[in-house]
Amino acid sequence: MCSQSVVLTHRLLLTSIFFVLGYGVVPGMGQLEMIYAGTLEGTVHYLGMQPPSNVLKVLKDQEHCGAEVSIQTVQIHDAQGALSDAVVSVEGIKDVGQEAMEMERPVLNTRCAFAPRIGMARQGQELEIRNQDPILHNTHIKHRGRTFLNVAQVPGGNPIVKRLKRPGLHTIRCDKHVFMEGSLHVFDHPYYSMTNQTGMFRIESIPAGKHPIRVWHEALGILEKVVNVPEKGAVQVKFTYP
Amino acid sequence: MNIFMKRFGWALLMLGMAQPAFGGSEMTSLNMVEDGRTIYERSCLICHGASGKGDGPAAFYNAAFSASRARDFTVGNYKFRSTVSGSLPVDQDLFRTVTDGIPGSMPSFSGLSIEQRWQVVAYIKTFYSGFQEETPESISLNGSPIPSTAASIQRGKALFEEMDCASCHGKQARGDGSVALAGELKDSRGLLISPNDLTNRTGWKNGTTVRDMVRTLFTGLDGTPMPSYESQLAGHKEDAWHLANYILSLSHHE
Ligand code: HEC
Ligand code: HEC
Repeated sequence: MCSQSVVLTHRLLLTSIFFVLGYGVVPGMGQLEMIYAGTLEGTVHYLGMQPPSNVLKVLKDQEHCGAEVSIQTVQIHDAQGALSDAVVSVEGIKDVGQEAMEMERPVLNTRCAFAPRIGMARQGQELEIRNQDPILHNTHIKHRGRTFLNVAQVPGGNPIVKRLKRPGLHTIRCDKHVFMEGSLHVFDHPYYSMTNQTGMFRIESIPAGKHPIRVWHEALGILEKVVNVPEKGAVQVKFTYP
Repeated sequence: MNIFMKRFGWALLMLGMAQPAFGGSEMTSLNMVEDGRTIYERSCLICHGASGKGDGPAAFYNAAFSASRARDFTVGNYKFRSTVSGSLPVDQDLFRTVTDGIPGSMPSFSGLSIEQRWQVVAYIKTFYSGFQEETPESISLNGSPIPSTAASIQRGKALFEEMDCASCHGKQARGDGSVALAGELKDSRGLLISPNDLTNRTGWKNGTTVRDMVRTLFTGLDGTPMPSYESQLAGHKEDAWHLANYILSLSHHE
């Protein structure tokens, strides 16, 4: 115990020195491993026409879900085409050795939709699923075509918790309401972010060097660019669909 | 579980008798896989395909436009398990499927010796790397069967409504729920899938006893819309058994 806390103080000291010098510490295996790290800042825009909303007839539970649902997956927020809900990640850096992970934001079944529709999480985190509707939903999450979880939740039923074991895209569906769709992006590193209503994103403490940066959008697909992340300070990058 | 353990133990014993001279356990499993391949190519390939993708020459004709097509062993979706939703099956689950077959889909292979069945199980696991990386997580059946009294069946009927089985299986449990009739239920390959008629147990795939029924409700059938109700039934120890009693009672009056 004693020697451990000595090491810890030692580490903290070193860490703060490096911070003073302007370098971040890459969250790693708990080893004292200093790498120069920079920040990635950028925007994602969509220059095309906004596609019409997808209007679907509701066949089940109309009393609660309504007679039809209207889904717009391309969320544009200004005249320049600022796009929200695009998932940005740094590829090729694996960093799985984190200690106990906190719970990720829950996936809610609410008003016959998943909220958030697009989610992000870290491998090893626990995912919680809740049903806030007065009707039965089943949350069916698949990863590479395989059921990761398929659980029924009655109104007021118990929340469900499951640890996310594998990185990658997880699709979320309710078999009872086919129009309910969502996705969860699970990463084996902490270098990811989502664009906000100004189309902006920011990822900090990225190990310096050339990395492929990937943008994923539910309807618009994937963009990729190699960016040179500096040893300190920030680099700007712009992505534009189509 | 006990029955499984007994079967498993017995099979190990048989294996030991068949091959008294084997060395390390690695040797054994290698031999098992090799022997399993021979059996697979003779008995299973016609439906499950040479690469295990469920694309053997007979698979398409068996289920051209709707489920259930022969299982694709490379994805890791297994329906008939004793494990939680999303978990791979334990070996005993696969052994049971091979032994009993699947009504309407796959013949029973009880004609193979017990040793041969374990060999072919070892072989089909090689199609999916998850079997090497993951530890299956078993469910625990809450308590034990309770007598199928009128009160129990009535409670089960109320649960059938509360749990909204009817959306898919229909009010009378005949497999004609509104979501099913709308053609909206698909399996993991996008093939149309129909919920089972729960009033005729001869066609059931996952066993016909009250224990089998509770197991199905707890595990769900991975790769299909049939969800796990484990956490919804967890609070009240007896509810799963009431629900199972109710569903089994529907088959008595045909
Ligand atoms: C006549 C075609 C046919 C043959 C021959 C056949 N199968 Fe199958 N098998 C199927 C079909 C169809 C399914 C899918 C049934 C379903 O999904 O309901 C299946 C599913 C399975 C499953 C998955 C069970 C689960 O839990 O999801 C296993 C395991 C299996 N077969 C093993 C074998 C083995 C081993 C052999 C050879 C000894 C074999 N099968 C031969 C048609 C066949
Ligand atoms: C979202 C739709 C859906 C809901 C809700 C649902 N089921 Fe199912 N169920 C299915 C489908 C589809 C199958 C068929 C899977 C297959 O054949 O591979 C099935 C299969 C089954 C089976 C397997 C029978 C066999 O062949 O062994 C049982 C038992 C069952 N359901 C009972 C229930 C009960 C009881 C409920 C309510 C507590 C329920 N189901 C709720 C869709 C559903």
